[in-house]
Amino acid sequence: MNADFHFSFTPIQLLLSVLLLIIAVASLRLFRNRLLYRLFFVAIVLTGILFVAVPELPYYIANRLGVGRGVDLLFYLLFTGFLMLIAILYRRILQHDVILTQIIRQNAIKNHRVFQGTKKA
Amino acid sequence: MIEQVYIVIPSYNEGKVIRQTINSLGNQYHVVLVDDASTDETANAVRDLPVCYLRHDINLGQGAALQTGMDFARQQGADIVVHFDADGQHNPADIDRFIETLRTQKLDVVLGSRFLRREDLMAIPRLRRLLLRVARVINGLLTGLWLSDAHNGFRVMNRRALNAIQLKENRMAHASEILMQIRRLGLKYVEMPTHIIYTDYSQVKGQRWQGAVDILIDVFINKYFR
Repeated sequence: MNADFHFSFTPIQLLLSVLLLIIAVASLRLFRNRLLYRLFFVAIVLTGILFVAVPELPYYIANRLGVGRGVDLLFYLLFTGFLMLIAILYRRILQHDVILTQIIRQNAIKNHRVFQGTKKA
Repeated sequence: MIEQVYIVIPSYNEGKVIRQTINSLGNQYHVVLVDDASTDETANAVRDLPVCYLRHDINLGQGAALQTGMDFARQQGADIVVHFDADGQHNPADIDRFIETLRTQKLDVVLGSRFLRREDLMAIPRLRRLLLRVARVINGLLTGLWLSDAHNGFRVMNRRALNAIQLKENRMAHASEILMQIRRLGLKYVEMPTHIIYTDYSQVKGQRWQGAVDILIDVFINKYFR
């Protein structure tokens, strides 16, 4: 299969590209002090823009990988990414749970009350 | 030297029965009540009783409450810690019997079991008995500790176990987590018969089968995916 790409920007492609660019800038602001996250997010957004600008590209890659249609490839990538995101966020929630538990426990111990008749505080 | 025995009672909205439960313990032990952010009158109910009262600002679960109580007891210099349910299911008379066994057999942990005496076994509601038998097998496979009772909340442990055990499971899966840690840490343990009193109150408050399935999933995930 010959790779015969051409760049074109219809109004909808332009709109999508601008939206993706806004997301890219927002992500740079969002992930402060996290270079890896920033690079990863920007790479995804740039790939998105490339796919919007060159619709034949995902189709070509999908064919090379034996997936079939370009939209299938995008679906698989998005699905995998979605699951990864859930796993990462869940792990983060668990870490916060541990921290929260420690803080609540320390507070409970520090502020313990000894009610009447207790033999030892 | 007199041993310092601390009874750790995790409690969530047990205001109706907590007073009776603490009174049943007498005055010979240090009682640590860990109120897991109850929204009822638990604090007022025990205000005039000899008890150390700790309160979680947010509800974390029974496992977290037990660990809070254990941390506190350790800081206070406890030699022996007893896990005791707030709903009055456990028999206070078992405490001294368990401590005596812990002491004489030089054990680290003594675990209560409802399956060692016929009278204790027959007191368990039929459906719960069936559930516990299934849970016992799954628990044994996952923890490597084959006990007669899968989730008995009545336990007695010495200072060594108190220092070693660190519960990370905030909710009900802590019961399996304790068993895993006993095995991993090489703590010496034994099971002893204990009688659980199933009242209408405790059965309403107690775990349902959905909860048991949840616990098993938690144990599985934490064993293989944490």
